[in-house]
Amino acid sequence: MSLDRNLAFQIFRKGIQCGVLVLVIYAAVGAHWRNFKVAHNSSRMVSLHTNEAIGELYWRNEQLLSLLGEPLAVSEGLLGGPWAMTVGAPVIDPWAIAVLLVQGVPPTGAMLAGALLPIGLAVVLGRVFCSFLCPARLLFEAGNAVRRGLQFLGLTLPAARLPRVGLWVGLGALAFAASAGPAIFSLVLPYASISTGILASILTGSVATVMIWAAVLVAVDALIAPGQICHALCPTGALLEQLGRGSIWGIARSGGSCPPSCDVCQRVCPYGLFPGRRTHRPSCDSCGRCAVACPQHKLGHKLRWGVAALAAALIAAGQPAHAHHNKGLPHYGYFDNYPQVPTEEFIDEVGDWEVGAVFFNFQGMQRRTSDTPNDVRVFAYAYDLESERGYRGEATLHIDDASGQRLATFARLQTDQEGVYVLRQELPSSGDYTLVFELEDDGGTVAVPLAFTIDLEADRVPWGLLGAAAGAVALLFLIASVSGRARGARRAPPASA
Amino acid sequence: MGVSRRHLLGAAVAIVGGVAGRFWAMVPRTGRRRPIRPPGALPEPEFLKTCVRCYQCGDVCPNQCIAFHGLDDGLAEAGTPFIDPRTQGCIACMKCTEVCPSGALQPTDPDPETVPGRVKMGVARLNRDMCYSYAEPARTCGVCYRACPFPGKAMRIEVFERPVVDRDLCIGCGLCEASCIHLPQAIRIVPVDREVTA
Repeated sequence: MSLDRNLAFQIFRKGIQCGVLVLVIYAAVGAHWRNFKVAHNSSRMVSLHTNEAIGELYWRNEQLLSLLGEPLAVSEGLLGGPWAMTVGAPVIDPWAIAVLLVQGVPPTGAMLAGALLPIGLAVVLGRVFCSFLCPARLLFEAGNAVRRGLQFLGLTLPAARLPRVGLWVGLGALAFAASAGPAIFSLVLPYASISTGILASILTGSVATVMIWAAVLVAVDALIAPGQICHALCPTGALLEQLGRGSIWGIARSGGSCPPSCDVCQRVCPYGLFPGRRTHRPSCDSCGRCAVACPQHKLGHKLRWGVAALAAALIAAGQPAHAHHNKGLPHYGYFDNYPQVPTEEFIDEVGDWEVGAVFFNFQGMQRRTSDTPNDVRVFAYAYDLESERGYRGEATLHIDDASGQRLATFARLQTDQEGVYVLRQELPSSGDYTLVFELEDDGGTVAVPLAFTIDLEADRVPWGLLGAAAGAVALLFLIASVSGRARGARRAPPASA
Repeated sequence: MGVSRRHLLGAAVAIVGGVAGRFWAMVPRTGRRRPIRPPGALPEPEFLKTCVRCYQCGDVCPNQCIAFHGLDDGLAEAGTPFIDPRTQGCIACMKCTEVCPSGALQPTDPDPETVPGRVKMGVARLNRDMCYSYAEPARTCGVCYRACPFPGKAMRIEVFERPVVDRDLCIGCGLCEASCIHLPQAIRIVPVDREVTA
């Protein structure tokens, strides 16, 4: 009976965790839906513009949103990720407020109001953010499931215990942010890495670096120090732990004392806490794994006093805001520029001159079999910022490689096309180069450099990079298994209370 | 047993963080062109301090013109929004200014009648020597004029469809730059020092 309830709790918790991850991804994907909505407002048009499947998804999403109200307004009510999210109303991470304060920027009233929900949740219910809402914890748990699988297969893995310095890490990040800005928190808070990585990847269509960092954290957590990133290093975990010292809800032992030899709850606890000895508070985040594992069913979630405070907090959570639907101004700019237009463009300003160039190095899909695969065409211009005139006169242009070696020189009496010098050069490899303009200026000659980067290998599969990544993972496994043998597979003994 | 040692280690982490931050902030910026921030942005130093990198402006943008700096652009600018008009211009719907929680983008009225002169992301600068319409003989083009959301105000047009930018009324939305058919672009947005608008 009790076992069933605890298992149901685990399923409920996993459902909420997955729901949060889905919500973060959906919030980012919503940007694409809103783009279709504002540009076409018709599934038929979306189908014609993309394909039937996307058109169908567009239509299903519109129907879903219609259940909740005006679709565009509802869609705009879900934005961002756990670090700063709009779910009807904004919800702000307390560390985001702290970052603004240390930089001397007064937070807006909306931000302060948005921080009330996470703070209130922690004060009333303890660290439930960590066990229910944090997307990083879900990935860490998945990583630890893999870890248990590896251990089942006979691999011995280390279980390092780290000093609990979460608040200090938060203070260090704040000190860093005081001079260098808030971006550091997207590295320090694992859930911020994941959610900003998801947002950046989906919004811009490229892989965000912070996602790789998040993957490293998951690997470290799974292979070297299970549970320790949440327990010892995460600033938010430490902050919520302090806020939740007086929480009304948590894991508690009922009935008499446990058999002295039993440490099942400690072994299943992701943080290595010991609820059987009642030493788990305040670090416990009420995930309830111990309650499932306890052979005597002594552990479970207990409410300390009344549901009234919880209900009050939920009522205080606020009403969704409605945004105004603006169809935007003209319909010129809705989709990306024509794909055949090259966007590999470099511009720089040096003194009175703006110099720029567009680079073509696309030879078609069969470039490796073409006669001159590394042929690069350059369309360069110079613009006099002082007189606000383009330069059309006599010029000498050089292409230097990164070491300053001169690869090519082009002499021109005037621009080839109106305002543009057209060059063509075969470059030896991908990398950084400099295009030097030698221009007539006030009777003398000035040299204006323009740094540019050419990627001649863009169409190649990066086997070296993939191999290095696979090798790094293999190395991590090797180190983990070797040091695991040296240290023993067992978790370290419990800290003296 | 480990309590004092733990806090010593923690304090060291915090101090190293502070020193590293000071050092990091002193690393000189490269000579890249400054990005154009979304409408209603605070002046650059305040903007970098105030923006909390929540990505909501880019999420809400119906035009998908707001892009974000990555870590490769330096930690100071990482995660901040910018507009690259060459890829996609701004349609001045001001949605991003409504959702910004921190005030890095100040709430801005989207009324198109009063937007010119009130909003300033940058200003369009025309390179007449590359413009088709200004060429001799002129090849009348006028694409930028047709893209301008405030025709007759921010941009006028003369004989041979030669565009003339009004520096005061141009808001720097970049639709002209996105539309320009010349390579390299004959018209481009130059960021200007922004003022807070309400």
